[in-house]
Amino acid sequence: MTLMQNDFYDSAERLFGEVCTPAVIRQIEQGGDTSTLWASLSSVGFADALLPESSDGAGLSLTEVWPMLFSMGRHALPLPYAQTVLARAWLQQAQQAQTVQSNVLAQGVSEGTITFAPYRVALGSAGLQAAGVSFGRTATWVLAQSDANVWLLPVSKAQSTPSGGNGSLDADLTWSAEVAAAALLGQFKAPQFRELLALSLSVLIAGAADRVFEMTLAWANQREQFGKPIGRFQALQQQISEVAEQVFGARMSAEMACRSVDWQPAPELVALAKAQTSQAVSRIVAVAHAVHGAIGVTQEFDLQLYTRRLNEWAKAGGGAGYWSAILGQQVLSSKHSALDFVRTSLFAEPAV
Amino acid sequence: MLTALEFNQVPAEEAAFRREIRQFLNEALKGVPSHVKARSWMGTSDEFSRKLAQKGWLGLTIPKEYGGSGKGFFSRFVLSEELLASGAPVASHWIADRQSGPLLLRYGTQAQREFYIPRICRGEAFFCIGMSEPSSGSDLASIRSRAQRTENGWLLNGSKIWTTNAHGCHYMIALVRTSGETTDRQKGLSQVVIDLSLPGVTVRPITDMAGDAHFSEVFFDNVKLGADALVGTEGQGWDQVNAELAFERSGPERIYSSIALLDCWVDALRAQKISDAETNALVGAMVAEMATLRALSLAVTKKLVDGESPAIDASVVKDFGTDFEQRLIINIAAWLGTHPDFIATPDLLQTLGYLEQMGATFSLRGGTREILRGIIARGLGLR
Repeated sequence: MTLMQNDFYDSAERLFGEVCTPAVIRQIEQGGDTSTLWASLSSVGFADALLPESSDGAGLSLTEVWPMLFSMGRHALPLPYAQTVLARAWLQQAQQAQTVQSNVLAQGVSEGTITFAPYRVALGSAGLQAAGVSFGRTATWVLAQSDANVWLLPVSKAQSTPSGGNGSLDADLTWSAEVAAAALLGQFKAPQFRELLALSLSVLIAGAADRVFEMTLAWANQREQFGKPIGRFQALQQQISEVAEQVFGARMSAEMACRSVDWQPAPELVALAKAQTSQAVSRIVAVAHAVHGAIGVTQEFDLQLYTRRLNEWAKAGGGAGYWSAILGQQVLSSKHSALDFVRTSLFAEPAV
Repeated sequence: MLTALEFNQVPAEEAAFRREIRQFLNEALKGVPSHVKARSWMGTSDEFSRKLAQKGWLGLTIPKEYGGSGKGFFSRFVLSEELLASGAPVASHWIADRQSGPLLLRYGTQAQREFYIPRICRGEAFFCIGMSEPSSGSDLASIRSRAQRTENGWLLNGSKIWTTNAHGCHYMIALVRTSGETTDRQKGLSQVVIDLSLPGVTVRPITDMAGDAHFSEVFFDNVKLGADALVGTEGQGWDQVNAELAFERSGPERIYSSIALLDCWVDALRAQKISDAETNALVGAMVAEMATLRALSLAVTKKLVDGESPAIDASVVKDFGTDFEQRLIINIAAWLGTHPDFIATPDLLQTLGYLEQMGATFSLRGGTREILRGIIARGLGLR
């Protein structure tokens, strides 16, 4: 169904399709080396897409990179590439504003991938712990925040324990007090990474949902029972059509969240996108598996590589209830009608 | 085939038009309670429709030579959105304006265009659509009403049912059989325009469970139609009707049917300063979905602007939208049930009552949910 008319999108689809095959995802999930994949992915220089040209970036806006981020979700990249693109833009801005310790940046953050840990980060007697870090098993760096403290932590120096189900890339990470002290990047009053993580995951959900839907359609046309493709049965058609709507909705909300003239997303749009994409996941995954039957839950079939990720991403970084509540609170504290709230806060239209 | 729906803004130049409409509506709808607003496109006011006509807001996209305003699809989107979200009573002119006018413009003879369309634009000709019959609902091709050719026109016999606002209309454009038998299905069907004041036409309003009569049954007993009653090509009625339904399914109509309830409830939450996590989450989820639907609807509008015929995309948005409209009712009702101490005003409860009673029709009118999902499945290549 994906027909994104965009050169960036086409080249991203080609590259990810070549280097991030299901076999590569399986190897990395089983603890395999990530450096070869990252070398191929980073060779095109996309990690600095959002940095200004004066900082050797591509000077692109979030709106412009959206198709590539979406493609990352379609291929369920086992590395936090989308997060890295946003993290680098954040680091560049913080560096520019001189709000961060340059010696911490000098550790070599330009090498490798970065994920975010905006929740469940605690400094205690055992050191610094970040629990349930999304992509914690495969990231090179973690940008973590607890209260005002922001750290840039090397995963190589952490004690890492997988925190999710089979094949999950999430991990509980613990650093010694010394490592943490050397990684303290600076002090920030406001939470810095909640929206960036939620935006990354919304776009990844939209992409993976699109992929899962594509697989579901193909299977419905291919698998035959009672002498005809199962997609010819109305009972399945009704469910697949309903899911098509959810896939369209997820994609649209993620696209909206990427509407920005620079690299920074608008917080209300992130709340909208994470709420809308996360709520769509359970139905999309359920119908995909219903259509595929038993083969869909086997390890050898590729569907699970994407549906497992969808389930994880729906909860990670705050799920539908969390982000809906944030958006709803804004609705209630405004004086607008529902339409005017939507128009002015979410579509940037002028008030009447 | 389904294609991607890309985000589009409402063009900035529409802002002034929206302000003008809003100003007019604030005045015209002053003091109208929510439960009346909830009727929106099942609510009729000939006077209100004629006021809109005086503003030039009927036939908005119709060329000026036929009395229209010659504006674009985005202007129509803004006007429809403002009318529906404010709960204006638009049923008198809605179908003439949105479906019959464009249909006549596309398929009508020059004489038909010159006769009907300026009247539509002036709010002097209200139209209804004759599709369903007592034995033909979703299986529209099984209709039995028949127009037989005579020396100087057509002789019409049969009946139509569930026709929205037939009792308030001057004309009906009906799908009828002009040749062959019921077993010929889509073949031999044609569209005819019927003056509802003709001898032999009987219109009987049907009272719905909300106590209103928003639809009717219409009987034709040897009604003599002129030769110029035929719209478009004889035998092409099926294709013409499907093109007409694409108009019907393409606007923001299928997002805002329950918005009077959402606004009324949100206002009550604000007044009583209720803002717990669960309530916020429900408000936020509904608004997020509404915004997503609006963006999808705008994407369909953009396709119309670009000259495409996004019939399947429109079905996606309509089915998604009616589902949203119905869930809004269910969710707010459930919320009220969870909060028996909440001070629900009579207006809020009457609004909810109306929508609980008539909400079922949202996924029936203009093609049922099941029919739409079948259309989407075909677009996805499953049929």
